[in-house]
Amino acid sequence: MPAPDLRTATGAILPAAEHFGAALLFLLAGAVGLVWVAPELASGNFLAPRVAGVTHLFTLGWLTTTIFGALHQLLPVALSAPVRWPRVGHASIAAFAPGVALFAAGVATNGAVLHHAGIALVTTGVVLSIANFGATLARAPKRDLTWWAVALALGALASTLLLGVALLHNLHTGFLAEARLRLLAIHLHVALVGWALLVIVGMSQRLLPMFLLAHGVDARWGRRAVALLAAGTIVLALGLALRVRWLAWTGTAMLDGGVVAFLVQARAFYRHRVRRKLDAGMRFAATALVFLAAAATLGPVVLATAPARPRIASAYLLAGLLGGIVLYVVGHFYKIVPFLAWVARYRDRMGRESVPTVADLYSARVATVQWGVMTAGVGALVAGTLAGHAHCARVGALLFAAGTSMLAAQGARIALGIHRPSA
Amino acid sequence: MTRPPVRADDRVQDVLARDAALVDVFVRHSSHFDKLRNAVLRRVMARLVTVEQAARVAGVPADALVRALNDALGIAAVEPNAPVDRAREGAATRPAGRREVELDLRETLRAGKEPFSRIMSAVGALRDDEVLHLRAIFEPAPLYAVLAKRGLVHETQRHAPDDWSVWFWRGAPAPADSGSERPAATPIDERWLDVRGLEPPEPMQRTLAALESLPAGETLVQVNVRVPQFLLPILAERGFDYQIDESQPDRVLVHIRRRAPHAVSPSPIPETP
Repeated sequence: MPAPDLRTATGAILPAAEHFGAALLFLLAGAVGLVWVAPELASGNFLAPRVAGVTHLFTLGWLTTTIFGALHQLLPVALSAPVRWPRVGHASIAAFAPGVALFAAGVATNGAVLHHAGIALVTTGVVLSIANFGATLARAPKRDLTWWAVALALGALASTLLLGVALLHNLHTGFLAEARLRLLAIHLHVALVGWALLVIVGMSQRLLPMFLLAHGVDARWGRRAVALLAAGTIVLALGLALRVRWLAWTGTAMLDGGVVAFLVQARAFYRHRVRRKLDAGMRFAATALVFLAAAATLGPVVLATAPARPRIASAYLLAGLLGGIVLYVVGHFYKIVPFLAWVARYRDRMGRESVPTVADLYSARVATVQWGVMTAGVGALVAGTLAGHAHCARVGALLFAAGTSMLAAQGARIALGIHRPSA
Repeated sequence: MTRPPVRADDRVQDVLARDAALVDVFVRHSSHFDKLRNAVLRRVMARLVTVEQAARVAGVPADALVRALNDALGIAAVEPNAPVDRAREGAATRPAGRREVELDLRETLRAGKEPFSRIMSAVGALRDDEVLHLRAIFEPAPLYAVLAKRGLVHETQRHAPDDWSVWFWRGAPAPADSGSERPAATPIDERWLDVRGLEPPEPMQRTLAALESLPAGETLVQVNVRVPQFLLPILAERGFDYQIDESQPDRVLVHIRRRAPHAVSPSPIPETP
């Protein structure tokens, strides 16, 4: 066979690191913002501008930035396809990161100049990334489940952007009238399920076996998950857009089926793992799967009761976004970022002399405390929102922010190369 | 039709294939066999180990275990077959003057973790002038036959009931039916390093460590579950050529050797005709 292109995984470390660094700052900002908006969440006021601004710090700032960074590193590994234009990766984050900051600030404060400048930069970053990753996929030698999941997810990201621009325009013109809420629901599901969750499911087919050492597990449930989540997002969107209730229910059932299929697949990986003790990253991921199941349970309730019970809708969003997706990505952050830093720092020494282990680059004890604090935080936020208890929601947000600070400290420790060798 | 009885030299995998519920019979005899409930470990270990070897590892009488398995299958008592001591195959006295490489698995085994991949990695990296000193909490009898097929002989010493030393070294050439992983006609200038049971970045670390001592002209064959994308640029930087073989569905072979002195740029090893 021909030699692989050497512009592969190690060449993608710098763009990935830029993305992860920016993402961590957005997560911190989002966590602080969460403390600010917790009472509004507890009252079910998820349409409040500042709630929307904070939400975008998580969705665009943390999730999308992290996913872009991860794709730079993982596409070469998972699909044997080096990123098509590495320089475009730098240009993308240079536009996207400030764009997210401006956009979130603009939405939260109703600042027209800010969110127009922000959306222009975000659009530039997203379009560059979609073009770059799309061209990468086109050159991939094989088209497996991960390929399809990422391809479908990129389509969903483009749709999310278009829907977002329409919602933004509506802020000034009100042209959507009563359709605003339905379009917002479509925007959220296309973003969180069609984009974030599809990437997660697709990449998990490669990452969970690698991180859990669970090779040779039947992957059929992963395929079902990708098919159901992709199709379910479209069906739900059509049902909501056309106001066809049975179609919306069918879409909801398909999304729940997709989540269940993903949970079954993930459970198979966890059950077949060789190493029984879970490390920090995989513990976060397992916890996120529980929150994902909770969100899938709340989904039909939201559809049945909306818009009369906004607190249930808020709790659904919190369980799915913060618990299911953000924590899952935090878990993978612990697996990917220390590894990248380790390779970058020790590539000339590895195999020749004794070097620290990847696990030495961060504190496992802090990670465990962080896991407990963030899990309790999301739990309290969801419970406080369901109960309409503002203090409980704020305590949850404070715990979440404390956990995020610990993650930021770990990130700084990894970046600065401060490590304590294991005994 | 009369069913054949379970015998001491039957593979555990074959016994369980007759009735998966026989796991309970194993576990009743020793908690050591709890590992058989884990599907991955069962797949790895049960295909390598005979009932007699498993009984020895667990410290239970083999004939009692065989009898209980047959009872559970409703098969009348049979005369025990003559013990087939494959485990003793290749026993010898270790040579003096070789460098000793220690692999202490005692804590790993006490923690209930599966050590097979670490052992095979160490064996893959073992040089002809080295002896692998394995420390374990029981006599790793099933390994003897597995490693004998790779041309390794061994010496065993028991320090305490839960403290064993076994030394492995390359001795007599491997028999013609050498293991399923390594081709029967392995060239003598090839070393194999199986990294499939390791989490990144350990495969990369161990491969690079093994390459440091790879003599010119020899090839290191890394057995992996995926193309090691992070390793490839480092190989090129350090002056190694490689060839990737993805022809088998469950593994990727990376053939690595030092670049010829006259070569100026990284290149793959020429394809074998």
